[in-house]
Amino acid sequence: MDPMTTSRDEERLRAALRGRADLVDPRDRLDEVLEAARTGRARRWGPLLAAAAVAAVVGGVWVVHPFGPERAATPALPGPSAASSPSASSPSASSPSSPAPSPSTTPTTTTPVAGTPLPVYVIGSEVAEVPDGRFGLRRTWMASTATAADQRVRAAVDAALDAPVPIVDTPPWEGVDVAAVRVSTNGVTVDLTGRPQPVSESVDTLALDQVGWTAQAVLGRGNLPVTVRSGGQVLRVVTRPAADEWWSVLADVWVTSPTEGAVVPAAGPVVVRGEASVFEAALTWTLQRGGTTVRSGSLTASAGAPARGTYSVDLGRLDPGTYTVAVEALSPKDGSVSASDVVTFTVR
Amino acid sequence: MAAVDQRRGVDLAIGDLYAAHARGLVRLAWLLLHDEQDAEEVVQDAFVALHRRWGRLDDPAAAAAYLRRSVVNGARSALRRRGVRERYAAALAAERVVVALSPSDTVVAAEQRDQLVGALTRLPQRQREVLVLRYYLDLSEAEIADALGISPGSVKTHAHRGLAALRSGQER
Repeated sequence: MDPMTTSRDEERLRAALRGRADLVDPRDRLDEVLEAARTGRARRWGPLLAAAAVAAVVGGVWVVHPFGPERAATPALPGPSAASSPSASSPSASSPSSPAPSPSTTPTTTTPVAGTPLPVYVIGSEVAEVPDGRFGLRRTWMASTATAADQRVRAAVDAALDAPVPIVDTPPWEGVDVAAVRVSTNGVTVDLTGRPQPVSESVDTLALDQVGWTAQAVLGRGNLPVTVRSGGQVLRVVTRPAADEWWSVLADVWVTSPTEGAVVPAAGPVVVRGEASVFEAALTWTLQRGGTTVRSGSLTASAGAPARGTYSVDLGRLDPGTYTVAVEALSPKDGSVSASDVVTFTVR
Repeated sequence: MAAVDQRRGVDLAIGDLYAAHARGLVRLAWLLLHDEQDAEEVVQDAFVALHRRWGRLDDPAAAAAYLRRSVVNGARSALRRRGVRERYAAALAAERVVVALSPSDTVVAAEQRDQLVGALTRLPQRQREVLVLRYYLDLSEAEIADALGISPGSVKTHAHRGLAALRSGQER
């Protein structure tokens, strides 16, 4: 570029860009920024989760926990019902010894139902509030109207690929979509339009786990091998490891109920439930409202690391308002927070 | 909520950065996206990402550069994911005019200005990004290279081609 001949063009371009940009008058979103950072959830997952919770209630359909029987005490339903009416929860998890979960454990149907939320595994931070570069999968939910098994897998895997990864500028699946899904009795094949971009060893591994765990969970047919391919080449055949090795894949602490953004009726008690794989099964919990701690305590999960236990805390009835519950594991070494999950919900 | 206590200082720092940079970044995003809501969301995401990353920033003074990179990447993702590009390409096709850059120092009239800004959207993505960063933000070649993750040599090439295309009305 010759500066002598282009300087006027450049000035025109500069003036045009500034002139047009000045017309853009954005609204202040600082509150949203701080809220999203506080809850550890990305913006677009909020509506998804809320929609999923609503769909579950409106449809009157229980959603099977993707691996329900293997985590017997986990409520089957994401969202407000599981939180507010524990007595009604989880008939689907009634066969704790069965190793192969299947949709037949849902009380109302034997096949996935259109409109039921789909489980989506995303790469989350081990410490939900302050990402420190240690990652594990977290399960979120999305609404979907898909009915066919392959379409449901496709929708959920697409959402998984699209999910942001905390503190990672360019997530591994940036620019990659699902090209095709084939479900057979022996397994699932997911063809992608590209390979994951390398981020770090742990994120690269989790990126493929994400696809496998999501596909398996959507189908609810146990540990089906999920062949992940790109351009005809097999990237990995994903299967779940033995349950006492899930700590290597899943985030150590999950709050599974209430779900993020859930609205819980003030009439009933609020029960916080989750899963954890932590040292000596020891967890602390804190309930905050408007930045003030309302209650806190400690609890013990049903099993300690390397196993994955379940836990629940009955908070009783809460006054209407918006609450945040944090469940944290403290490092046996120095007492710092080694893993956590945080959920914000509303009592109305 | 021990971890939450670690955050309060971060909230304040992010608030200061937001006050200083958010408006300019939304405008930058708008120039890349031509959609106000998408632009605001891309910038919101950039600040959320910065907040989460705060403890790991080597140099908090690098926050502005980090935000720029996030916004450019976010705008690129938004274009791809949401089909914004297609929407705007379609809208602009209806009023497509060859924009010749005339050797004039006069203030660009609004209509001409919008045509010129519109013509940018028909350039290849990299060329558009380079021109916007160079002529809207007045970034140096090195800063543009950092924001886009490309070499300074590529910055020069994209700028040259982009300007040449605008000048000749040959943008795609």
